[in-house]
Amino acid sequence: MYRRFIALLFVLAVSFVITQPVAQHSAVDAQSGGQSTLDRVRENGVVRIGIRFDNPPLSYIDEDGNWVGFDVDLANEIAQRLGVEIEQVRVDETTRISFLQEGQIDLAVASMNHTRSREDAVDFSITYFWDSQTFLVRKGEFDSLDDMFGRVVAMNSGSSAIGAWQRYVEANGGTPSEIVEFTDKVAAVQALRDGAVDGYAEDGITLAALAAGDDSLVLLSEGFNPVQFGIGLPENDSEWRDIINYTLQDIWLDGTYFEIYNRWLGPEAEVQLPLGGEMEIWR
Amino acid sequence: MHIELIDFLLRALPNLLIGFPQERPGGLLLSVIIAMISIILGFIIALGMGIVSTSRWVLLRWLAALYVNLGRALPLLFLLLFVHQFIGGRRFNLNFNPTESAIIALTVYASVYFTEIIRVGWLSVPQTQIQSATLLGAGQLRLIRLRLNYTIHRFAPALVNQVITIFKDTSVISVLAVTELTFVSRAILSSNLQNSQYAVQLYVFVGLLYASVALLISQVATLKSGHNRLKQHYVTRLL
Repeated sequence: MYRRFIALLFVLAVSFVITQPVAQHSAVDAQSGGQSTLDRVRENGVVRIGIRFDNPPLSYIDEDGNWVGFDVDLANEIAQRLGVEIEQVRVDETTRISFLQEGQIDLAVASMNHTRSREDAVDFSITYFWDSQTFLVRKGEFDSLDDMFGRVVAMNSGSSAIGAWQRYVEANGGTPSEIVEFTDKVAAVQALRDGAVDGYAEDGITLAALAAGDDSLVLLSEGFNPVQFGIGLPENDSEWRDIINYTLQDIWLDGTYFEIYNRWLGPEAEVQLPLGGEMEIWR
Repeated sequence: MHIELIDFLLRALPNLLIGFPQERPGGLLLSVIIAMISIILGFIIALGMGIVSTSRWVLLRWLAALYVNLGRALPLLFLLLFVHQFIGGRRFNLNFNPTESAIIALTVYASVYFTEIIRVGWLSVPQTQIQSATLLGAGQLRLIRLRLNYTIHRFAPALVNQVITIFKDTSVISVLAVTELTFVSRAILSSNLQNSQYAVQLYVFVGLLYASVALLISQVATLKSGHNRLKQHYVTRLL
């Protein structure tokens, strides 16, 4: 038994050594004249873009099985401007960062909020989408952020909303809320309807989409944490990041961005969200 | 309300059973296909491993024991991510797609459990049977067939259990976005903003789909073993 345990530990130790993230290797390679992501994408003629499949209206699979949404259209536009084929890879909140680190995708147009803690693992493009985190509540029960102090609230597990809300509560001297973490957003909304939680905090766009068509749920008008979505990129590959940033700016400058935005979030779309910011443009 | 729910489930049904139109096979069909491939491959590996683990050579026994112990010690989800992220990524230039990774992980997972069943079955064949067979002139190959037959019939319930477990565990591969049943149900729930209200009902329905295949497997297995009992009975009567 004892020897078996030692053998097991040995195997685990070896696997730790061989499992350094690939993206860091490739960065070293790039500095020493090896292949950067851009070279590889050009050579293969294919860019692999991670896109979420469970996040309407930004990216989801519709009833006919078509993968559609704002992020999907933007990803296609980027690939087209890079002059390469697109390989769409389905990711979710848990896989989008690890797939980037392991080099299974070249970029992630996956509703990724740009945070400092995520910067430790991957790089980000300039902001391409603006929103704010807030609460979805049952209509008529609560109307301000202060009402949520000390309540039982739902959040997505791993969401940046968790830390942001805790900081907001502390800064405003409120009673800490009891946070229930959900991996399934649909289940979180159901918990809110069932009364198991009093509020559900997430990005405004996500909540607006989830609550669309349900008159019993409403969004609080104030937000507690501005959210900036960036495109996730492999760590330490500045050439690739430059190209993606320039491409985004080109898409903004010639108006294609607004075309895509209005298709999914404009005044005639099912879910409506006023454009919340302006892209930085470098001359 | 009920009519709307039935309408929703009816619209979802083709996608749940055979996948989205662009990606067929998917849904339940893909779950069954992936489970079948993994079970067959896993069983073949387990045959080798099971026999190796009863070998006279210490090193072979030790390697087989390491494989089984390691495989059993890791949760399926971890095994899956390990295969897809660490082994199957760009590190060794393998670039497994999610379906390949899923089949590899499930095959390993199935094989370690089958190995144990086969090893125990192999060792449980009574010496008297082996001696009689040898006396009757059976060669090595015939002996192996005898021991295998004995194992498979005697340990059928354990094997069937394992087959059902592997089939149900295919739901785990939805984390890699393989379009099997669990993935399709998640995608359907987020395919339309109104669908979230049917979350519980859809999951219950999907649960029934899993359960009906699992029940079907055990029914077929029971019928088959009943058939074997009849045959045995017939043989005893003849004697």
